[in-house]
Amino acid sequence: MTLEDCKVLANERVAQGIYLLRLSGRDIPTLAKPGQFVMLKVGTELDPFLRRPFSVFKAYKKEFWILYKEVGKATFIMAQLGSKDIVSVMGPLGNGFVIEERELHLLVGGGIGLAGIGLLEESLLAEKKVVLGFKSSQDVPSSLIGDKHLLLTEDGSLGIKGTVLDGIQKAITGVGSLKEIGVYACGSLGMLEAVSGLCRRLGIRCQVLMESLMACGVGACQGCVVRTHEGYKRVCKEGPVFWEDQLIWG
Amino acid sequence: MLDLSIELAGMRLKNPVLAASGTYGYGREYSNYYDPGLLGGIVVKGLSLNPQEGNPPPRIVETPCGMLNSIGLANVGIRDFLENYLPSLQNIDTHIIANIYGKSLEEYVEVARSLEGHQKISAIEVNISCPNVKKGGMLFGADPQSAFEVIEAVKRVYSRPVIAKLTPNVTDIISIAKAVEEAGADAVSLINTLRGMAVDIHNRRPKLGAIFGGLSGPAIRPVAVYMVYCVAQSVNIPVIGMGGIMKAEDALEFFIVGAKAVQVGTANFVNPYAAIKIINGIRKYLSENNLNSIHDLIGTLKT
Repeated sequence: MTLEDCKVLANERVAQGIYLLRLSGRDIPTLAKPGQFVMLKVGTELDPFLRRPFSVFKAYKKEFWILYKEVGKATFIMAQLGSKDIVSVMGPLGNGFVIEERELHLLVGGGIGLAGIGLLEESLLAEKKVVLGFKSSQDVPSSLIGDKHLLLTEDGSLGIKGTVLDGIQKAITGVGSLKEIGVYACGSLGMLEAVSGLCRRLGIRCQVLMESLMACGVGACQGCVVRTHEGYKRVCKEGPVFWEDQLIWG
Repeated sequence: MLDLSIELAGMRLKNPVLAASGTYGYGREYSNYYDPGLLGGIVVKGLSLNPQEGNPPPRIVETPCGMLNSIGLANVGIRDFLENYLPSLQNIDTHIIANIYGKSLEEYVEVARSLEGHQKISAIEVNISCPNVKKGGMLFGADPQSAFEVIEAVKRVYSRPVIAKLTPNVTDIISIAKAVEEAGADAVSLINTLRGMAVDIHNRRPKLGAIFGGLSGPAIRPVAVYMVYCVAQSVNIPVIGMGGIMKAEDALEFFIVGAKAVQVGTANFVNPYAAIKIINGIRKYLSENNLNSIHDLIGTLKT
């Protein structure tokens, strides 16, 4: 992990309130593994105060992408970044997805959760399907979505009408053994809980990428914990990826 | 030759900048960024007799120029620390200070006793100031008599320096500082976090799982500087100042009002190199002001 001053290459709106930030990087692009995150410092020195964690969405030789949703002060400031601005980035951090041998790798993104599975999609060469669910067509970053994605919207305004759960059911139809499927999910807590519940019922192994408010990003402060059957675990250190059956939901 | 070293309660520190407890893990968390041996010392996460789960999440929330935390002293416990963490600190070329915490007087004593004889631990910092636990912590540090009792009892079982870490959540911090000095404390460190709270107005719930927490970061620095100023004039033991130090200029304020050393805490989160930059900045300031040693700056406030 490193601390780099990264130059903004581009920062464009790709859907309602969703932006794609392209940054130059020295080591981060090559070091980043699917599911890992970086911590960005934006704004003035003291405001916003802490760094903010973001999944590495894509990484190329000397460039990496962050897909983010404007939700508060820091992301509002991020949305104003222009090319040649400099951002301090720490990372890559945390443990990414565990890639096991599977007949089918099923990547599931709910809304901005797409940000957490983009790098996995890029690097996973084995048989895979990508299920992406959004509320409505205006939330869909169309420029990032292609024919190989199974797209759903809750209101049916784009793609198939339904949620990622419907998408998972559709994607696994015809697969011989459900045990041979690996699910990798990222999205809201409610979506992850629902996906985990479905996978458990079907006997599918499922990894979830969790998010949390975070301060240090390196395991020092213990601020970002989630409840697991083995006690609290740090999202930044033991996570952000967990097996769904490790977590205590609800 | 510019001399940044200080003698603190019998310890020779290569520079007067330490990493503050709770912000630096068990000493190795920032090793990927720099050699922790460059610091004047490392105060490890608060250790208790038994492992502590800590408080329910959310445990942190950002506030203007600072943050609230309600970690609740989550730690691996003294035994696990000694067996599994301390060995990895052996070759860090600086002072390791163990921050200790107890739910009762007996627990403080028990933890202190188990640290006795460990060569790599240079001193104990006694946490009588954590605002985030129901028992112990700040309760001991908010009353001169109980503060006295804890420090006196720890001194009885531990032969190396004992530092008392004080809470700002009191009416009169000077009386607490004097009490721990009388009990035999070799130094005082201050301030721990200021108790605080934040509310989500949309769902009317507290933003922290534990409802309230401790405020740190530059938002509290003026309070910290004032309290260090007050305490430094009132006790004869060295004062270690902390509270919202983000850069060298912030640290210098503490030295000028009488701190002999400083601790850097929350700043580590924002910039992993914060403490190193602060050390370099102090050196630059001394050099630019034709001062040969940090001692030429300590307590030089002009009023």
